[in-house]
Amino acid sequence: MDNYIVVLGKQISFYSIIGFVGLLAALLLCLKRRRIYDIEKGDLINLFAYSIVGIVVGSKLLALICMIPDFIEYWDKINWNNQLLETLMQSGFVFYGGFIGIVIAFYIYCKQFGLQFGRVMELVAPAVPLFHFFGRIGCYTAGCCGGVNGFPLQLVEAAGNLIIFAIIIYVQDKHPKFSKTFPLYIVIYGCMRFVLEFFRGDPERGFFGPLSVSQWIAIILVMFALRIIFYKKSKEKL
Amino acid sequence: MEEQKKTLSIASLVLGIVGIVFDFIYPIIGIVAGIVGIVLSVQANKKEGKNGMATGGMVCSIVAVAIGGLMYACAICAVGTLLSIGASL
Repeated sequence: MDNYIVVLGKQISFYSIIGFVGLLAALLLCLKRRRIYDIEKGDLINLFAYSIVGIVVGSKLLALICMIPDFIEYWDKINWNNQLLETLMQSGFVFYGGFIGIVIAFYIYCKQFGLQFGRVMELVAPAVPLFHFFGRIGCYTAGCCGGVNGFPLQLVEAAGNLIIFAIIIYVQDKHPKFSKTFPLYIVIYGCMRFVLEFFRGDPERGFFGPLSVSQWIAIILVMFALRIIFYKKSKEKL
Repeated sequence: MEEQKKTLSIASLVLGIVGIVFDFIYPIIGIVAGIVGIVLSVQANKKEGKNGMATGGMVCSIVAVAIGGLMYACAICAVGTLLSIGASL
């Protein structure tokens, strides 16, 4: 079965279509819940627009950074032409790059226009795993990011993201005083991603020492998120 | 009453349209134009007030990035593309 449809003579991948559906689902979720965090509709639309910039720039940038060792190794053999640029654009994206891109984009927007960054991140906390659920389904249709021996690891991670989404929504609705669901998401997803990376079947995705780039990022982000979650608690005890 | 300048709105709309056009010629330029157009349209919305051109600029820019993204279908998430280029030389 093909992983694309043909529209006006152009191949449109299911990955792209499912990705956009995921983005829309995330936006609709945020629109429904924005009043909880006192975010204006106009600001939400602007943040959605910024998130597209963050996702595209961040995920592609990290993917290209992961290719630096190959660039260095094959420098003399590389044919620097338009085809190379086209190929690099098609060579995939890294979730954590897009994730970091979104956080930076939102921070810049909040800083510039006076929004509370913490509130914005609490609003998007369930939207990120929801979008990622669709993203991993898209990866499955594209045949990328799979497990060893063709195991559909993308579907396992998609299911994991759906569970994380449910957990975040539950905590936000049942424990509204707990205002650290975004760092909580980072911790849960980071741990899941760290473990699942050992079962990935695409070793060319970028490694640094014994661990993949995503595993290193997961470690750093989890440590950072745990500090955020526990820092205020100890401060409140004093 | 002096009409408020809508420089950012106009720029975002132009970049959005340019982005859509270039998506069918050279998608990388279309995506870059779309990204810059998105940033300018958001700035326009906040600094120049909501207006049709800023909204149009945002829509066109998002469409430009979307079409450009569709052109570069992520069929292969692999660094091995560089290996394939090297092998073909």
